[in-house]
Amino acid sequence: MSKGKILVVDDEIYIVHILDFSLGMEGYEVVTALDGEQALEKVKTEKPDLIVLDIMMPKLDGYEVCKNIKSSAATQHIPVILLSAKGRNVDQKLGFDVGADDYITKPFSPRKLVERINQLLGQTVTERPAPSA
Amino acid sequence: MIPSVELLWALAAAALLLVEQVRHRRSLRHELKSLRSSYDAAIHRNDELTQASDKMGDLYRYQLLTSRKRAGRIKKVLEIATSINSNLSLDVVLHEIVHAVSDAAGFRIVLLRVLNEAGSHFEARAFAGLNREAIRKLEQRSVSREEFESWLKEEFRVSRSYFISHEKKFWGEVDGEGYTPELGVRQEGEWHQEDVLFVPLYTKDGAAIGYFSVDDPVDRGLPSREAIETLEILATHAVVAIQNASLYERLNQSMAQLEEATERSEEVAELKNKFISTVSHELLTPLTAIRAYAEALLEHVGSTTVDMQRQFLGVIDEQSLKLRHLIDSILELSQLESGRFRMVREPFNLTELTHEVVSILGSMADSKKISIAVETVAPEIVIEADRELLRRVLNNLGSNAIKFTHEGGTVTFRITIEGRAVRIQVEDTGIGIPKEGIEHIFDKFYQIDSSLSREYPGVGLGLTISKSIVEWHGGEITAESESGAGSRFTVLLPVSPGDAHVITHASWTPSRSVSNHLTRLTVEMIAEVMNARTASFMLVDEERSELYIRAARGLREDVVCGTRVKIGDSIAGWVAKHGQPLLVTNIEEDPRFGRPNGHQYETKSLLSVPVKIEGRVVGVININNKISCTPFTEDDRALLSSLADRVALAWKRVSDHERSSDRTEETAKALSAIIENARRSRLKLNAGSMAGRAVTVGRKLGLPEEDVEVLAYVSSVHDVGMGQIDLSVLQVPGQLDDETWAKVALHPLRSAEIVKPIEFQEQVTEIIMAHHERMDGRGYPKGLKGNEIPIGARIIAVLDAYESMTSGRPYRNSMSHVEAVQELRANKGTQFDPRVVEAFAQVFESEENTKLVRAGEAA
Repeated sequence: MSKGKILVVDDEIYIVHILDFSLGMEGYEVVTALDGEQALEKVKTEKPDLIVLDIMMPKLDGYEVCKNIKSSAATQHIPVILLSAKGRNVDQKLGFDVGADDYITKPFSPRKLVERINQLLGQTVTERPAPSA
Repeated sequence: MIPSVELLWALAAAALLLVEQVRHRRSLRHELKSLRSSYDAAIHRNDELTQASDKMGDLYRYQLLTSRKRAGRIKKVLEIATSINSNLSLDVVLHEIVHAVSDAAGFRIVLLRVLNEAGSHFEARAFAGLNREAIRKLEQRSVSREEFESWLKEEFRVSRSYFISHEKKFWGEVDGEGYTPELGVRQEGEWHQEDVLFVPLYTKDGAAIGYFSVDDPVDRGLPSREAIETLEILATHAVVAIQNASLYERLNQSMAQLEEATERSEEVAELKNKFISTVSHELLTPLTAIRAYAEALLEHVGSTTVDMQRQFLGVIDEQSLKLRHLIDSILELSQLESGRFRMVREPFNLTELTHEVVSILGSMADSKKISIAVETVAPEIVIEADRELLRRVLNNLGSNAIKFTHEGGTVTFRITIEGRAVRIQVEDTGIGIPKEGIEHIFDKFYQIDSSLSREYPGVGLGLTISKSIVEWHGGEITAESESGAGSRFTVLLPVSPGDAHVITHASWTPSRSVSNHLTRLTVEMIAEVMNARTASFMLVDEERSELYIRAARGLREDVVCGTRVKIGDSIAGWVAKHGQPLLVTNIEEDPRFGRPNGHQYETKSLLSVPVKIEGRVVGVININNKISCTPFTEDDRALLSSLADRVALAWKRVSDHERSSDRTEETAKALSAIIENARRSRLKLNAGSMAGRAVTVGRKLGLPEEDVEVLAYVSSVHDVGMGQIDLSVLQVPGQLDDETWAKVALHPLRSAEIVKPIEFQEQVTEIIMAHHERMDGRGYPKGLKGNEIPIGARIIAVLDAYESMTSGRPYRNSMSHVEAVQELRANKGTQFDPRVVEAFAQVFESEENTKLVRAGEAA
């Protein structure tokens, strides 16, 4: 039984693999995208419960993707965690400005990322009105 | 009867009265008449007065009107003159000035000429009362400083102005300023249409920066003292106005430059920031993978298979290697960019190195079933460069080619020779580079597409590093490609550091009379004779009063095509402006030097001399980066100045005989012979020391500076004729046979003939001809004796003998300095001029000088 579906977006294949592994071990279902355009596609088709999003990516960067998700009524409820090597305060601020729910800098600890995801999903699950109950 | 007497008295009285009355009336009438005439006169005078007063009134009103207008004009000129108004261009100012002059001094025609920035000509800049056609003609004609000065004769001078009456017949056939108003019928003492009045505009220090010339006076009279004074007052203000306006223009220019510099430094800062953030991103990417995999491995060590663990460790290993490689590349690049590395240039076989690189790349190629080949024009191509750095370039180009080529493709290394350069091409049949990528291909961290970087991993610095290495060698690297059809990288490298090829300015047009070929030879000749790695020939662009690079050796193409220097700015500009050579020992300490230009300058010393044709600066020759890496000296300056004189002459001759290809060919031959000779003499003697010694001895003997310059030049070319002699004859020990001897004996004549097309001083030919003559008359070719031999030739004879004794010839062992001087002394009076031998011995006797000479021997 899956704890939820997570979309992992990064142009670095190793990062996608390790997140797939760590989140899989935690009981999440993982879908992946390698660039911004693919990510928006997957958001529509896969309807993930949470998105882990890299910033520096070809085609469409993470800020744009996040802004797009947060401005659409259909997807704005999905929590977005930005995951980036851009570690300056201005980068983080920009991330929150486009509606990110959290900002984690690379190099990161997969353990801590998983904890953060659990936390966010736990909250959103309780906050979200039960679909059928 | 008594009443009749009374009647008589009464009658008499009445008659008297009548007479009296008649008389009175007569006088009355007379009086009346005269009254009438004076009345008439009075009336007449009154008319006259009224008329006069009316006239006076008109005149007064007119004067009031004009003086108001005049006052307004003058006020404006004063305002312009004293204030710097940002909205006023110099042309507007000049326009106001000529109209003020016209109104205030009463001349319908006014012309203002201003000295150009080069200070050579007066250009027509503002006009009053002239039609368009006249203006166009005046604008086309500029008055040279010499011509202007010839007008300033004492006999024409009035106050500070000059009035040249037509009666003086000064202009002769030619009209001085080229405009003649139609003044109609002229009375005696009136202004003549060929009269000229002009007022020089003198600055405080007495230099003329322009002049007014005026014509067609309103009052038709010859100029009054008052009019001239008015003109002169306005002239003073005009000077201030012109100076202010040009000051303001220059200020604006400096401001623009400052803004540009600020912008550029901001751009640089931005680039730097961008670079740092890119570098940190690139460094963090492998680190992120390492950390994530290591942590995951630690955490799940119990719940993962060995295979999986091995896979994780594999990623960690790979990523650490990538990190290591990245750090190395960044360090290497930063060293290359800042110049903090030592380049070891040594001769090596390029073909051999290429085979070495290819054999190492072999296994990589084999694994992809790519065939890799070397095509070369010769098994041994020796170049002088840094072997290890070039290995990096070849390795990088080769591994890129393999990386981006599909299985079964081919990679070819092709080496060809082009004059004094080698061309290395690395060609593949791979995926190619998309059009939009080709211009960024040498940028840092540029990768065609990051999706490709997964397939073809790399750090994106290899080409940037290669480009930097090639440029450090004075070469260039280019890429051509078609997406899907493979790529070709071409490296053009000078065979030795002195051979960086000459680049001519791309936008040059043939109308400027001297061919690219001749220009290239000129620059080559200068670089070779001066032993400089970098040489540039700049020409004056009169219109823009700027210098641009006509051709250069050792400068990048973008520098050659993009450089423009304002006359007066930086070093070359200073030289052009003052027409004097400039020797800079340390550019970093010279305020005239704009900004240090990165690796263009390997040494801090540079030398810049003007090229003058008929006293006018037409160009500037700059040299730097002496091959010996020592600063330029006063000796080099003397030599370069005399080379510049020859260049000027050659250019003038060639452009005067534009259609004569003979002239061009002769000049090209002379230049080529000098180039060959310089290369030959570099093999036997330390760079430039022959000219250096000649200058030192010449000065010691108290020769005038012009002769010293000639001597420096002759000592570098006196043996160009030797190039015609098969050198192998000199390799044979023992006596030369008669035929060979005859050839050798003719070489002074040959030398003199070769340099003739670029020669203008009889002296040079004489010295060259006589440098093998002996004091006792037993020399050749003419058998001149003692003082019949020019002093320059006597000096060169001693230097030649010394050089051949100390450097050794195939047929003779070399001597030490002391032995050689002994030998010179032993032959003084017979072969050599004793004064020259002693001067030579003295200047090179002191320990320091001996060392200098020794250093020369060692090289």
